[in-house]
Amino acid sequence: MSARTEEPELPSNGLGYQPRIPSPKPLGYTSTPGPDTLEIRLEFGGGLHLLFSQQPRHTIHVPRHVPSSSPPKPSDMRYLIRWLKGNLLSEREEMFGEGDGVRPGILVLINDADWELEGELEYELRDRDEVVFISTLHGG
Amino acid sequence: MSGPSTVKTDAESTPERPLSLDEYERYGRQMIMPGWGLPGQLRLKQARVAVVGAGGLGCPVLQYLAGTGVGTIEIFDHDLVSKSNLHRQILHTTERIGMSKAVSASLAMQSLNPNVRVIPREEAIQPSTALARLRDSDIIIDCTDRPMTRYLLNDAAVRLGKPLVSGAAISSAGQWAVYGGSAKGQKRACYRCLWPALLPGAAGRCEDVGVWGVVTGMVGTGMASEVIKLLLGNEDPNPLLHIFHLGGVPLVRTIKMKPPSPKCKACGPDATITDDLAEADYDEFCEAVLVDELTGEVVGAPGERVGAKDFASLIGKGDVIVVDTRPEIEYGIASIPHTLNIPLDRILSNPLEVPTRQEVIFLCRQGNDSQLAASALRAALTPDTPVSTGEALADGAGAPAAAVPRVRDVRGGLRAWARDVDPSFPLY
Repeated sequence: MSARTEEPELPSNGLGYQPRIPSPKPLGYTSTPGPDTLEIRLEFGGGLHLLFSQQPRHTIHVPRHVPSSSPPKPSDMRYLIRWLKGNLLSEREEMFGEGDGVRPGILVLINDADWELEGELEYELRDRDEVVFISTLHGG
Repeated sequence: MSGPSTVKTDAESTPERPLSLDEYERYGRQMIMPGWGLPGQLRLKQARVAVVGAGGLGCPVLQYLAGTGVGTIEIFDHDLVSKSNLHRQILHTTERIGMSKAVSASLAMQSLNPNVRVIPREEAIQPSTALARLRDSDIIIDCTDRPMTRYLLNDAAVRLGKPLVSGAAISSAGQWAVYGGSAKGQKRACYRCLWPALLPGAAGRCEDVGVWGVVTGMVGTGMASEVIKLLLGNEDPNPLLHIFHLGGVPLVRTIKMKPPSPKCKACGPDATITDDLAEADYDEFCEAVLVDELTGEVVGAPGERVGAKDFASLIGKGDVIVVDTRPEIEYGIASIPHTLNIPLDRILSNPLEVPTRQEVIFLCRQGNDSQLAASALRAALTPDTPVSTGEALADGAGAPAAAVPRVRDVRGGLRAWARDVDPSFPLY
């Protein structure tokens, strides 16, 4: 598309996405590991990384419990998606989220299994979980 | 042996010795593998598969299926070999640029292994023909490059109860899986179960986004392995989806697929897709995915496209200009009167070159390039204001009141024109 020529020159590793660059600033959350946080590894594939600062991989730390929930509610996928929209999504929220969940057409994997096998939004996050969001590809 | 590719008649197979001597020697290295043996080789020889697309994915798939001795391989591809294919479509050659991809691939395969029967079909699989063309195959292999055929092939595979091996690759990433059919008595999820809707912006094409040749090569090789495993009866008991990224660690991520979705339109209990695939509106389903990468706006939203029949009534009107975006040479082959030829690349580099009247309608061969042209012109005409969705104008009753011309394109392009308006129009 003609639009491509207007994109600014960015360093590229030639693999279709930008190399990992330092996160520009804390986005209103602490990414410091601690006893009250869970480390979650994220990966975005099939072009979704474009919505997340062009980075395919992130390691984040989210609260172990949903803030100001009473009694304390363990953080689940519903919370993670809300957290992503508020803290990590860099553009075009409508391309990612729909309602509490994600758009149809985005496949969510929790530790290499389709999240439908794990309870979807109700899945309670555990430390060092790996969550992958991918969209389908069509080229060939 | 007198020549390397000669298969002597006295070496032909017999009931006691079911392969020719050539085949014993040729397939020896794989037949001695555990789980393969003579029975496995015979299963391959008796199999018939349909490979749709002889491009970046199809070439490695076809190459390995021919080499391994799959008995009958049918190739569907209506496209011709072009130079820009050759970095990844490695069965084709520089000498065969311009030749049918199906024929070119079959030449390479027969040269690799004259024992297999290769049937080149110089046609695309269409909703109206899919079931008839694919009915005789044991496995359907999707090596195409666009959403419409992906969903069409899935739906056809579901209707025919056959497994679908489907893969995709673009940029430096790819994915592949076996969909549909059943594994060890358990029904597999179909492509629609896993991907029930298209994501706007997910319709990137290799022409636009680029692709590594080795990426289509690796995905295609993975697909060929799945086909061989299926034919040998050695498929994964739990359906898996493989996701590949050239920059990834690990390189291939393999995930467990969910079971079939009860909500699936193709294979669920309340499926709405029937044997009448021509009734399933693939164009409309797939339209939503063309998005301008810069603006995020959907290209060709409802009201911004016009069907061929409605288009016929607009040609030649004084306030309407029709721009055919095909290359000059194609325009020279056949064109509709009262149209102006400006090739797509010129439009994209300078959209305002298009002379505008109250209405501009873009036309191309299939209705893809015309959307890009329309999107580019819309953006150039109204750089600071949101593009009209055209909803208010969708009835086609009136010209837009504003000075900004209305920009539309013809859904289905000249193919639709030939189908719906002028059957004598030469399709090439």
